[in-house]
Amino acid sequence: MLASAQARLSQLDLRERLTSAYASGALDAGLRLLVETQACLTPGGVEDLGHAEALAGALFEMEGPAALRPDALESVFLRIANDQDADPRREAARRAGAVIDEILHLPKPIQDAALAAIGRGGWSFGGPGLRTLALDLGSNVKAEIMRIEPGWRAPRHDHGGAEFTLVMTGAFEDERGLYGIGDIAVAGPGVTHRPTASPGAVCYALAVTEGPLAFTGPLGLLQKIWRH
Amino acid sequence: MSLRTLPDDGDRAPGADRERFADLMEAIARRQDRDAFAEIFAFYAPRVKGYLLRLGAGDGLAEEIAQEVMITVWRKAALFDRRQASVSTWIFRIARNRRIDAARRSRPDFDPNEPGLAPEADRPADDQMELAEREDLVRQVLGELPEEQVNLLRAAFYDGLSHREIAEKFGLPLGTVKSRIRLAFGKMRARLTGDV
Repeated sequence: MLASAQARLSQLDLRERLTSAYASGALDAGLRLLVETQACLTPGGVEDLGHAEALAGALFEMEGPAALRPDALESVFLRIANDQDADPRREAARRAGAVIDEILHLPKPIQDAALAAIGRGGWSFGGPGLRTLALDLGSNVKAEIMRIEPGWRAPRHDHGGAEFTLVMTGAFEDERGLYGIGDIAVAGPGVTHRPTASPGAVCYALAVTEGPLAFTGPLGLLQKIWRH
Repeated sequence: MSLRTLPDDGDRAPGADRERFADLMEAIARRQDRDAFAEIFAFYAPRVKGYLLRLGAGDGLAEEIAQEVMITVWRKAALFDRRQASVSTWIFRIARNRRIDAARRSRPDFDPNEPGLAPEADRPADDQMELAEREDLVRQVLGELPEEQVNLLRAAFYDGLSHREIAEKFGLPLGTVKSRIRLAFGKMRARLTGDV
């Protein structure tokens, strides 16, 4: 865990901002996954996310209604009738992945995405002691799982946009501090760092990075989160 | 303004509609009951659309996403669990998950494994009781909090504004926004977890 009280406070502030953004729907798929995974790693986290969602649901009930097209219900029934709901690729990946022990020890929200990614092509070699698994979340941000063996390090890198890295197992350290299970390291443009896995346990981390497509407009939030 | 004020429970039994909506969802799940769906649609589809319009979506996009959300409601009805969430919370979760993805059209189809909709089977029974009560308590606390705190909670947890945007909108220092939201959500959390 982060050492100083200041660092703990900033973890708390970050979690509060992510929680309300999550509940409101302002987060992209990559950060949603990160928040759900973090909740599983934090005492009371799942419960707190539930409170936030119930609050958002109650506020949604008070929303002012806007009329739909007169044929909307009919059109929905028609689309339901024509519906195909199968993704055999994903199911196959899930079955194949059922034996992958390490993944099954990660928090639940991350497992499906990880198993699907393994079914699609699996891990990439990222250097000695480092493997990465790119997730496909239909997201415009890049989301990947990093697996760093104790004592090994990720390459030093800069950031084009905001990067959120959630520690899921083990711990890692960079120039700015030590991050333990449930902590999120935030880095942005101009921040260069080199995470090193702490001795003892393999470090699994979920890294969500803003891609080349910057978010703009009322529906984009990653940058907003980062800006303060 | 009447659109955004707290509901007046008056002499209506609190939660009566919630029970009714939950019954309807179960009818959809068990019998593919189209009448039940039509009733759910009549209440929720216009609210989903209203939500999207207020976020700045154009009418065509808001209509399209609202319809897609309702299709997901039909499809995933079997995952609805009345012991864990109200229909409002459950449908809002779908609308919210769809919000960015659908707006950007990054995927033509739905995610077949819609995240967050499945009941958590491994929860102990006691917890499930609490989760049902939670819905009542949330509305109670919203009725008791000072209006300003409700507005701050709405801006953060429903409108999805960042703390900085809220500070600008309400003309408050950033630190004040943070501490008031922490205070208001803390009150709610304390009530929901029975720490009061």
